[in-house]
Amino acid sequence: MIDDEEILETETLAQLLTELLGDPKEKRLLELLSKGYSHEDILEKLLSEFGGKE
Amino acid sequence: MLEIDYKIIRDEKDERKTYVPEDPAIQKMNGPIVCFQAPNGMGKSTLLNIISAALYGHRDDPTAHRISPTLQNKIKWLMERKDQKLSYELSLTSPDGKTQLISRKGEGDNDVSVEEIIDGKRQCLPFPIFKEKYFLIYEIPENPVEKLKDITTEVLTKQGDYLSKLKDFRTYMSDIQNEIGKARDEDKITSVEGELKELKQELESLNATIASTDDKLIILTKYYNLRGYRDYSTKVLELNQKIRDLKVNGATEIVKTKQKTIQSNSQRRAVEIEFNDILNNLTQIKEKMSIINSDEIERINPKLTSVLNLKLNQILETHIIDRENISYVLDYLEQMIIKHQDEDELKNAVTADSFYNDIIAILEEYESRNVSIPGITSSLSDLIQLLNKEIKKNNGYVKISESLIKCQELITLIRSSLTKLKTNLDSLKIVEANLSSLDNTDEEISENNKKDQYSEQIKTKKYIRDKYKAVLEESGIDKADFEDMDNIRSALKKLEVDHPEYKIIFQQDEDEFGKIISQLTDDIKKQKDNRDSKKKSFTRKEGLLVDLQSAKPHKYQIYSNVIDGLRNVAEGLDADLIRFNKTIEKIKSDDLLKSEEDIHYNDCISRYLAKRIPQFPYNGIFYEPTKIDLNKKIIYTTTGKEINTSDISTGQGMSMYIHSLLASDVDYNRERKYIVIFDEAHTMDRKSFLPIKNELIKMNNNNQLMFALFVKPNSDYIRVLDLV
Repeated sequence: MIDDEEILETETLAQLLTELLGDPKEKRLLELLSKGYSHEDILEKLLSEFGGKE
Repeated sequence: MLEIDYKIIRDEKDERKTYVPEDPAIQKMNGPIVCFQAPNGMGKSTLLNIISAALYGHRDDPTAHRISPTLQNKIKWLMERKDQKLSYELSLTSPDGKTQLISRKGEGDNDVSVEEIIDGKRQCLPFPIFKEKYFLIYEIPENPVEKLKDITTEVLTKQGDYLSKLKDFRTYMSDIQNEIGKARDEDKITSVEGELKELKQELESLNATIASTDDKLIILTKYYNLRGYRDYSTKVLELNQKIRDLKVNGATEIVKTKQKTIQSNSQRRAVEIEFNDILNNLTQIKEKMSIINSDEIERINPKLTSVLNLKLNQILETHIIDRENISYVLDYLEQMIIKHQDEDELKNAVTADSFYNDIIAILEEYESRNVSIPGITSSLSDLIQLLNKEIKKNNGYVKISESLIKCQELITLIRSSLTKLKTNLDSLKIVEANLSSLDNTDEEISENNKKDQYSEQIKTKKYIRDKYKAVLEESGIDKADFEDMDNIRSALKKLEVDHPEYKIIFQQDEDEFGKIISQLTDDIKKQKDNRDSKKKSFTRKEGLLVDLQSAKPHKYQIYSNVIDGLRNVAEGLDADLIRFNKTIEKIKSDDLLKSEEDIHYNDCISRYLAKRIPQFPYNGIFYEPTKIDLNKKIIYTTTGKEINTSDISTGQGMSMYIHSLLASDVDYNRERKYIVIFDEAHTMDRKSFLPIKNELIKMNNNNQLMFALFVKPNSDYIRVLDLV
């Protein structure tokens, strides 16, 4: 998994669209999709951020 | 660097003309950003169309290139027209010299063929691969502000891309959940173990119930069949005894009775025949006489009807026939007949008829011979015809006479039948008197019937008895136990003593007892079905337990619920993106945006478009947009200036549009290299062109630019200028 998220940019459009989303989890998911993460990495990040996974 | 050579052989009817590049200067341009100037009619547009066609510009695919529809139609026409043959060879080399694109088309080729050479390595680039690696822009200044809307297509594509990625991610999560479902789960193992334990207890309980019901059924069935066999055997014996008793007491009398009965029946039959003859003959007379003289028949009609209404049963019962009345009727009818026979007209007609017939018979005998009657001039044949005519005239009287004779004959027959009837009735009276004088005759007849009834009953009882017997034999009970009545009684007594709990059932009659046994049989079947079903369930769960115990745990097992929740989040995002797509369609179509969500989205897209065009010239000043609202058609700037898009000049608009296209890969497929061709570039002044030039230099520095060509008219000469 790529740990240093800073090196991947959230796409401009996705960044703006997240403003329209109410659910923080949805916002985060769109960000991660636009950054081009693999499915495994997206799930790991979501679980660690919202599922209590260390 | 661009290198191109082409040849067009065109059939212009009066000649076949060949077109090739006018000047060697246009066959090789160093670039990467070039301004090409030439007078009108020197083949500028042809050159640009050939370059675009060589890079798949004629293919319809908005994700592959951005080409003005007007220009694309020209490219397609160039490729399709039948009156010319196009051949070319194009080479494009990237500014760093590492990448080269070669496109060729011979005169006979139908389509283009593109190759890519990178570091000396050559590969063919069919269209689907080409569009992943290169992006062609070929534009002219044509309603440029309106074209900004085309950028919304990119937004739609990008949102579609997010939706696609989201779909894949949802599938991935679904797969993970499936894997978790099959992974080792201690809770599930414990749960299944518990279920198995519970099922085992239920099975044991069911087995005990079935065994108990089975025992009860065996005892009751044995009792029921033994008792039934006993009862029906007894009934058969009793009926046989009754038949034997009948035979002893009634044999002699039965013979006598039978003889008398036969005699009586014979007499009755004789009476019936004579009686019917009288009535039938009398009916015939009535019909015939009614035709001759209905008034006279009316007079005798009451008496005649009373005779015709006589009932056979009554006569058979009383042995009396009203002879006097019948004789009166017959006498009256006879007088009527005689009276008519004495009438002169009738007698004369009958006599004449007889006479004529006799003469005709004689005349017919001599008709064929040559004889004649003296004094008569007519021939014999004529005479026969004349006589036949006379006979026809008397026909009615002759028929009446015949009817009267027939009635006389019938009256004679009736008188004879009446005498016989009287005799037969007297005989019948005597026979029946004798029959009734025999002692106990009715009873004997009744008992004779009883014998038949008893025989029938015996058949039925035997059938039922044998059924009970068959069941007893099938159930394995020793024959000795039920062949002897004493043994049956002992066996029944033993069952009653051993099983007082079934005393009430033992006392039920055959029907009720049978119903109880039938109900018990049904109960056992249901219990056994239930047990079989539970056994199958037990086996399935045992298999499941083995699988569960042999499975390995999944790393996300404890997050199963969280993943479920994330799937809902993904579904929510999916719905939102679909909604965004609908709104962008509305923006493209200039629909009025009403909902807060749509307005909010439009604001977001307006800011996105502003990011795509960092600055643009307007009235000699560069402005930085904060929002480009295509729905309201207003550009908002950092200085607070609001510019209506209709106020933007063609050159300024074109600058904005090209700029936005060049900036598009900030978001989209940033790996592609750009090939930019812009015709009629003179519409942009230096200021309008500057942001584009800067963007191209930036792209060139980022190794994103393959080649850029701007074309302007020049009235004097051909010139190629490298802009960087």
